[in-house]
Amino acid sequence: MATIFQAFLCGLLAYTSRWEMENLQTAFSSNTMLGFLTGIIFGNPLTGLVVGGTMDLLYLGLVEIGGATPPRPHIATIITSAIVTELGQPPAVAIALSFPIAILAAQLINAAFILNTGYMHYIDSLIAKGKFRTAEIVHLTGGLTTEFMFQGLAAFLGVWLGSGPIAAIYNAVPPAFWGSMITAAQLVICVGLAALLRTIWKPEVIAFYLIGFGLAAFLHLPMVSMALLIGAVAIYIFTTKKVETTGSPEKVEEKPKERRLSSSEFFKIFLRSLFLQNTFSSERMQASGYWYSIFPALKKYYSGDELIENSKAHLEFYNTNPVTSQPILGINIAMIEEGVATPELQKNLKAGLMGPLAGVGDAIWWFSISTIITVLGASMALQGNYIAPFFIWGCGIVFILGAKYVLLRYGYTAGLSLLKTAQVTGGIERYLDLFTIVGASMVGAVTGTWIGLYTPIEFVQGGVVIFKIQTALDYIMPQLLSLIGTVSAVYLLRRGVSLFKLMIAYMLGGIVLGYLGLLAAVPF
Amino acid sequence: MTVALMRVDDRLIHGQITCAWLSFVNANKIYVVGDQLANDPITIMGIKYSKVSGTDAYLFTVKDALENLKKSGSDRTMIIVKEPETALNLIESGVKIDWLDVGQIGYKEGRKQVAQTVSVNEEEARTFVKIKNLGVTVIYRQLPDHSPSDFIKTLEKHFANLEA
Repeated sequence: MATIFQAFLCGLLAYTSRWEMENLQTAFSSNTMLGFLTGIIFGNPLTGLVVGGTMDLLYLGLVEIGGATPPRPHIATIITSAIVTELGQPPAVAIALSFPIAILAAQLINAAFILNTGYMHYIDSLIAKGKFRTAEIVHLTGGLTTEFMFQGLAAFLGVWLGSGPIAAIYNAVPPAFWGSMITAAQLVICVGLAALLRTIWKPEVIAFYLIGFGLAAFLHLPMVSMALLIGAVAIYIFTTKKVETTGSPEKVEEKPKERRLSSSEFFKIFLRSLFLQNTFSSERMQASGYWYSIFPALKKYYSGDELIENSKAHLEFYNTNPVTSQPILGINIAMIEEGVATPELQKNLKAGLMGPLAGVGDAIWWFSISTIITVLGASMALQGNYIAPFFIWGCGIVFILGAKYVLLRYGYTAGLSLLKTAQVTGGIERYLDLFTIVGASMVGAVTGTWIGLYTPIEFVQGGVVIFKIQTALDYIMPQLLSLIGTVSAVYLLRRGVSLFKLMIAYMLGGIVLGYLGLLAAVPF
Repeated sequence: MTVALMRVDDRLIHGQITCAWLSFVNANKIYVVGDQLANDPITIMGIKYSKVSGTDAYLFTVKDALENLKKSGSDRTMIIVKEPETALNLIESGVKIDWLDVGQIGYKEGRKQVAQTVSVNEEEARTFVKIKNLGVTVIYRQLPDHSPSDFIKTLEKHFANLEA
């Protein structure tokens, strides 16, 4: 049994990590890190690390786009890491347990977003009365009492009360079932990988997926060397390819000094922008966070009723990718500085750009950079490398925090000139393609390395094995079943089968086939 | 001309479109349609940014959209409109769809939240009912992974006498 103190620490971890995930977003809260830290709480960091890495691979394709909340694995990672390290069960057990918890976590998040709408309305009334300071405090504390609290409580209760009943279930179920869970887990990972591949499934991506798979399955190349190799090839291809440039890149003129925000004021806005999603409401999503970010600029240039009117302009629905929100915020500040910002124009700016920029941001982040980082980190974790969680965290700091600052600066310096000359060069598109194919090859490498599906069927005559089907399959191609598992899932997803149903189907299929001895998997 | 999907979404082309819907409905072109939108410099810029992620996207007025759809041959087009009024215009002008997807209409003053990501006022609700009366099934579905729900029924829970 977990002590109440251990359970409390787990709750605290869930609370702060969800806060970090919504706000700073430095990728500190990867499942690998959460598993590792939970492992430390229970005196077995290695097992926690492996559970965390497994979860990162398993939920790789279930990404949060556009305000839709898919099953969220984070508290599941904490609860299952706790139970697995404590009861000494194989990590595959964690997979079976994680689904219901991840679904519950998503429901709790949605419930919190609905409650946050109440805070949003309160912020409305405070701003209408000019009580800005209180409105800021409400934004900074709202989520602390709802979203993060729910996650913390769920993890606390799950760890504290969960381990007893789960141990009872574990002992009651025949061991063969848990063996087949490993097969099921790997089939579910096939579906997770397929979820990522389905949206980028076109010939050049398939080619790199197969190259990554081949290098892993045939040559057993480690992930990091593969990432370097494929990255080098991709850079070669894309730097030698002729680029169509639509228009010339805009020249940016520095503004005269006296009209500008001081650098400390600018930095203050940057820091505030890191709390964009603290009180995310289902009704208006990031509205209060955006107002909170831009308020120092509003306050510098407006006062009295004008300040209230301009603040109100930011209380309408707003939702975009938090990274690509930054250029919008930057342009908006520049607009205010230049004295051309009317409430209407600011509303239009946000409404017109939030969607398209989110589309670009989601595509770059979820389907390429995040995939590459997570796959590399999770692979290290599964090898028991303690650097793994810190690798993911470090990459997050560089790529996310770095991009947030650079893009804010870019939007701010370019300002409205972006609208006049809005010409986009082919350059960005090339880098996106580059990251996408490296990402796809990483997914291929995971298929070839970490998924180890095989068939144990053999024919025995007079006590001697005369024929193993797997041997015949290996002649065709090593890891053939793992490839089939993933590609079949891509096919089914593209035919319109819902992701969630497919995961359940593959899991049940894995349990049944595993139990019957038709399919098995090499444990991580 | 094949309309792969018509969707009401006031965030226009965003992650849910580029990362999920396009491949799900197997569309190769996106038309963002709206008479005011087509002349709004910020929207024009936004659509240009959308092209960065490799999406073949166009911004049209209703009239231009209809003309281009006629010439579109074997293309599978996804149409995105910002409000139901434009969808009604397109359907009345002969764009054939079996169902209309409602994905996202943000809250602003006068609107009432009726679904997780949709807020509408009474006039917009009536427009949706008109669309239904033209034989189009109106459903609420954010992502392909979500199961569709009857949007008109949802509206009826929040507004009285929509048929009148």
